[in-house]
Amino acid sequence: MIVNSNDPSLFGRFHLSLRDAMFLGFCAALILALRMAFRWHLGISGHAMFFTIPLLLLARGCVTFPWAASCTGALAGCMAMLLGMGKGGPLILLKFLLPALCVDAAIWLFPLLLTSLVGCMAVAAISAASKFINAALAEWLLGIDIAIILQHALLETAGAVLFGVAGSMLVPSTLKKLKARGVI
Amino acid sequence: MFGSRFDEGVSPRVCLGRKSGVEAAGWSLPLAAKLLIAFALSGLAVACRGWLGIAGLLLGNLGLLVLSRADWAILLQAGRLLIGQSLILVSLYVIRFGWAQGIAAGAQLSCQLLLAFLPGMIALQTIPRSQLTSLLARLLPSQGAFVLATTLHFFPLLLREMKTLYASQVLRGCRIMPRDLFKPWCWQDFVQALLVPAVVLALALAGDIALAAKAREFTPQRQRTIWLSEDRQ
Repeated sequence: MIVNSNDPSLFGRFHLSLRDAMFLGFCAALILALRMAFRWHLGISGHAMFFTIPLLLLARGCVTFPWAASCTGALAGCMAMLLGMGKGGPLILLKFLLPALCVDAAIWLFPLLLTSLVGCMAVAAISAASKFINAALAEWLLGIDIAIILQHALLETAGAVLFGVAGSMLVPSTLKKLKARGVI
Repeated sequence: MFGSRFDEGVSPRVCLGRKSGVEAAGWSLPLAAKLLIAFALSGLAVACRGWLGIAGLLLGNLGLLVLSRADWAILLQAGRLLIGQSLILVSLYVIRFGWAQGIAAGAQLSCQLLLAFLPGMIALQTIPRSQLTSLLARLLPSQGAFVLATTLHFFPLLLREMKTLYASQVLRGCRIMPRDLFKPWCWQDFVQALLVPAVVLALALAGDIALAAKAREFTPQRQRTIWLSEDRQ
């Protein structure tokens, strides 16, 4: 964690400093900014995961708070609601929260995952695959045929996993350089 | 690299509570009524079966649009969404059930999907930012609301610094243009010239804000949730 003894601490017993919380907030805002900037240019399903997953991994890698990625995801979801982004209405919160929870859970189980390229790619694949739940949930509620839901959700998930894994390849070297410079 | 639309979206108005365009437009549905109607319409869209129900829900959504004094451009946005969803859903239904059944069923479900999302889109786009912020402040812990509001307030500053960093690195000849994202051999440049300095910038700005917040007596006990405008006057 980025420790600063003069810093007011949030969530007392978990020791998340305000500085760390602000950093997580900036990561969340950056996720939204990049999603917006590249929304119209690509139009390929799941391409937003190219920015979302690495930023969630970076947030978790730079801050040792156990729920750092989830906080980032929750903040991104709240900001998206606040700015009226996305097609899902309030469901958009899940879009950010589910991959973030996967990142936190994976790193809680295997704390050294972020130091290796393969580990990062594995976490990214699992997190991006959580898009399947989001994609399938709305259609299942509408009573769409299960086979169609599976095909549609798998199409979307495949793209998300591909982009998420590609983006996550940038994370280990970034964290290594930040550690080498003593920033984290 | 970063679109100007986001700069507009996260303007400091969000935190300082000045009146947005929707607030200034005059009478509109109260917040609670708007949210209730939106949730009810979304729920009905999920439950409804058949074209008659869809037509009724479409009328209901148009009513919400008028009562919320929303911009009619939202229908264009929804139309684009409907076309994209329909193409995928109808083709999947045609593959599975054939032309006769597939087209009608796929089109109906696409409309239902759109009608499930449209009320949420209308509500979120027409609720004034200040009301939404105060609603979030009531729902979230005070610290969370403070971080959310303060991040949105200062994000344009971080974005400006990142734009400067990006422009200077491009001028230095780094291969970090958007088209270089598709060339894996250029990714090392992204890490060296953009990602690492950007993280350092974000951490430095976060540290400054934390220090400023401490100087303004922000502590978990005070339960302050916004960067008060009187501090700036």
